[in-house]
Amino acid sequence: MDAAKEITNVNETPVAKGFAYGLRTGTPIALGYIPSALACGILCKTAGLTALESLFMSLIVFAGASQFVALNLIMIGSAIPEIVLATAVLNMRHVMMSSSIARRLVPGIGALKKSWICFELTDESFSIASMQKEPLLAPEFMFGLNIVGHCTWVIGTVLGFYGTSVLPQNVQDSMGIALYALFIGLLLPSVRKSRSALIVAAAGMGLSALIKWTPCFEDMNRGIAIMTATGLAALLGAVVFPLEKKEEVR
Amino acid sequence: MTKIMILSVLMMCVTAPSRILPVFFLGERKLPPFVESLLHYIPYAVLGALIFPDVLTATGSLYSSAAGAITAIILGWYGRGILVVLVGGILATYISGYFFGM
Repeated sequence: MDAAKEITNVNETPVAKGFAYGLRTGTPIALGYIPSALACGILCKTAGLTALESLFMSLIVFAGASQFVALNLIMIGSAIPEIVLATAVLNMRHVMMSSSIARRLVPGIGALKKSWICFELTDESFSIASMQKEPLLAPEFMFGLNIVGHCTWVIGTVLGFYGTSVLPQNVQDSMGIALYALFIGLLLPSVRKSRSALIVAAAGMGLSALIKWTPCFEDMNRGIAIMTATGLAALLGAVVFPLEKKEEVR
Repeated sequence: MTKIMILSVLMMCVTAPSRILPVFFLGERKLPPFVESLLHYIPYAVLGALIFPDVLTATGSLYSSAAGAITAIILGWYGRGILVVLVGGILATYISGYFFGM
């Protein structure tokens, strides 16, 4: 980065700032999170977690997809190292978002503030922050934007957890499908729009089934099998449908 | 600390660096196009691998699981919100469980 040039420009460059403005801008995230957070609570309950454990996980992990996958792996009896590894792989996409947002932050923010902003960054808060018309983002604005989603996520998890306790047993049994319904609901709208995404997802399914149904792999742990299928399918996508060179955002 | 809480802490220890470290190390550097493509496809690949074939044994009954999955696919394909897909899938599973047994 050409630091000297950047700094002379800062005074004239519009900045999105203010904690309250961040909170207001983040309101749509809260609305969007409610169903997934409730689903997360439902799944925590289904996977056999206590309310406190569910709250704790949502508070410190705060990564929807990773939590859903972890809960699924807990349910199918995976060991802790596999769950941690799966979480790590799933969250690699954050590398892209954090490096993109890093270019938009006001220069000269302390390391601790920077770390906190990125720790709370999600797909949704990233999307909203990226769409701000101001080229620069102040830390207080990011704190406000992020905290809306984080609070909604934690509160929604607990509400979802207790919401299921009042349900009769056969309804609770039907909840076994919830995780898969959620995954299907997340996947289908995107694969409908993109043929390459559709093929990669189908390859993931095919490889996952192949490993499960091939006799010599039947002892392979499901967590490892799913990661193997994921890696191979994503590799296929990257080789067969490399991304077009896109214009730099802003 | 329960086992789940220890798991949560470990999960945080692996998710936090991928969020935080790029700010300090990557800065404005672009990733190689191949790595960008790979990262782009990971969400689709993992969702596919997770859904099938395990969805078939989601409730312990093939019929009720399939009914839920097919309903979710139809609702998802027509772009219904995540809550509609979720509730629709659960409802279809419940109804077919009522007819075919859980």
